[in-house]
Amino acid sequence: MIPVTVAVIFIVYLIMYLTPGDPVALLLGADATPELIAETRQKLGITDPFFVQFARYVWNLMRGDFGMSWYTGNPVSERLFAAIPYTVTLSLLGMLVALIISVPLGVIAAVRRNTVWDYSISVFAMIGVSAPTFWVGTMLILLFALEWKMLPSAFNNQWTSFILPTITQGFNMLASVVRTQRSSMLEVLSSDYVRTARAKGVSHFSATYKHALRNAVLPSITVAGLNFGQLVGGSVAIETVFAIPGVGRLMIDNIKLHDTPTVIGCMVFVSVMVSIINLLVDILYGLIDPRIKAQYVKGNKNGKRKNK
Amino acid sequence: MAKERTSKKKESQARQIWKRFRKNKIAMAALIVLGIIILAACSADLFWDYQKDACNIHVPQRLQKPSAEHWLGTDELGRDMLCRIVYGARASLTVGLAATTFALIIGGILGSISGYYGGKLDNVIMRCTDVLLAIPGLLLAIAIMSAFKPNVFYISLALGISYISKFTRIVRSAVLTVREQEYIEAAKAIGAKDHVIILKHLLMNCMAPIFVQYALAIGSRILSVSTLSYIGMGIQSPTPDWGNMLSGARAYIRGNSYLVLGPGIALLLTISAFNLIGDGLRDAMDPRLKK
Repeated sequence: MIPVTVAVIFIVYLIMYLTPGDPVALLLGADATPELIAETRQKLGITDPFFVQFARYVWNLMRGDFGMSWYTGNPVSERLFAAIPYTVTLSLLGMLVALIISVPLGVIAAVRRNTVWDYSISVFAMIGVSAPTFWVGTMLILLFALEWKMLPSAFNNQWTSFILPTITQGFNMLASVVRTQRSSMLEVLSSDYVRTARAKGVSHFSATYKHALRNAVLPSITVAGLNFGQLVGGSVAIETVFAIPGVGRLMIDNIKLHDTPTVIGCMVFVSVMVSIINLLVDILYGLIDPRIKAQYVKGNKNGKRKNK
Repeated sequence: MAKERTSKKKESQARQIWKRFRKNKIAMAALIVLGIIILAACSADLFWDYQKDACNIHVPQRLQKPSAEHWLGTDELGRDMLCRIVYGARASLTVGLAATTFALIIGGILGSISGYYGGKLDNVIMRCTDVLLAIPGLLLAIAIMSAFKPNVFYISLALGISYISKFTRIVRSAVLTVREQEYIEAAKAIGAKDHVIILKHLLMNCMAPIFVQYALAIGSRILSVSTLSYIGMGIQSPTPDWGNMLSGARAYIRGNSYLVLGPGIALLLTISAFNLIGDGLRDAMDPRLKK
């Protein structure tokens, strides 16, 4: 994970390094003297070669120093840590909502295969995959905030203003999880051990929801974990729609201002967060599926893991 | 003669897939919807004048509700919504196709090299895709866009780059499934060059998953370009795009829901059409459903 993170930082740093935009002109304004400009350049360290700058950035990053914002002059970490809680809360809540709603929906679609239930859930899932998050968010604002006046349309730090963004956030992921859950449930329902369970007299309910569901829920968790990056990426749009002061919003605003250290900080944070979530999903897998735990205990005798 | 036989067989296979695809009513409906959208985007010039109707500002007519004259109403700057939605399809479809094709070509080359040669080269390429996959695609595209001018070419490039790693993985795994087949060995034995084996024998025989992914990827790229435009890093006003139309309407949605409905439904229809076609292709190409 750490080499990947360093490589991610490298790519982001490289892109931002190539981005036009002069921080000195930004900091000092148009009528600065040449001496002052040269001095500021020296101070910011942007006269050094690329690799020196990059090495220094990584070195500082390891001590938790994201550099100084070119625009406000404050440490980037300060701005970043002010924004992180919003994005993290929103993403995790969105993922949770998606899992809580979509797993039962997928199960219903599989158990009542080829009925009206199945079809309407499929249509719902297709809309979820295809509808842009920012449009869903706008429609929700239109209905719940402007039309029915039930919830606030923009973010105001109260828990009620988290509801619409969370639903929006969850809706997109919901769709892919529903589809995965449905197909894995169908597969498990037709497997031998479920038939065996039925044959030995286990009730229909227990066979479906105890024997089958426990085994069919794994792929959904993987899909949710894999899509987490997409979800965080999509939060940029959601934070714009609902005016949430999160990391995505911070990044977009500062791209427009050419405040490179802040932008890099945001990208690095998001990438690291996505890597951590993927790692957590792997660990969770081991906890849920005893077969995988057994594999690790046995020293990975059977070679590769199947679920990759 | 050998050539004739292979080409005949390929055609019949394509026809088989088409036959199965045609039976899928939902996928066919999606294909027809997509056809209409493309046709509308191509023939827009017959009905409107691009500069006059889609770009120029007519303040006296702003925010008119749908009427006989303006079927979908007018936007916040007095431009006909229907006209802008139809012209907006051009930008979305162009970027969607260009970005996906770019990603397919680069990802296809990397993936087939990686799958065919294996070993160290495979390892290096796969680690690179790991790194690219760790950055959420949209954020990568945003970062790239911050370095370039926002025009159709660079947007396609940015959205294409952020999809390369996915195509690399898909092509690689598709190549791996056919690499060990006997006909590849036979081609090697008669001394066929590597690029011939990759292009003619490997890729020709693992087209199915790549095609499916291609259709799905176009949908996802259109979604991304509209998101980019919405947050102001994509196609810039006055060039009409569904994303920047929605972003422009943001301040006026109270009481003017038609401003959001039109472009949103256009996006929803186009993206779901590509997704449904992708799903239909997957079903039609699934070898388990053959016979």
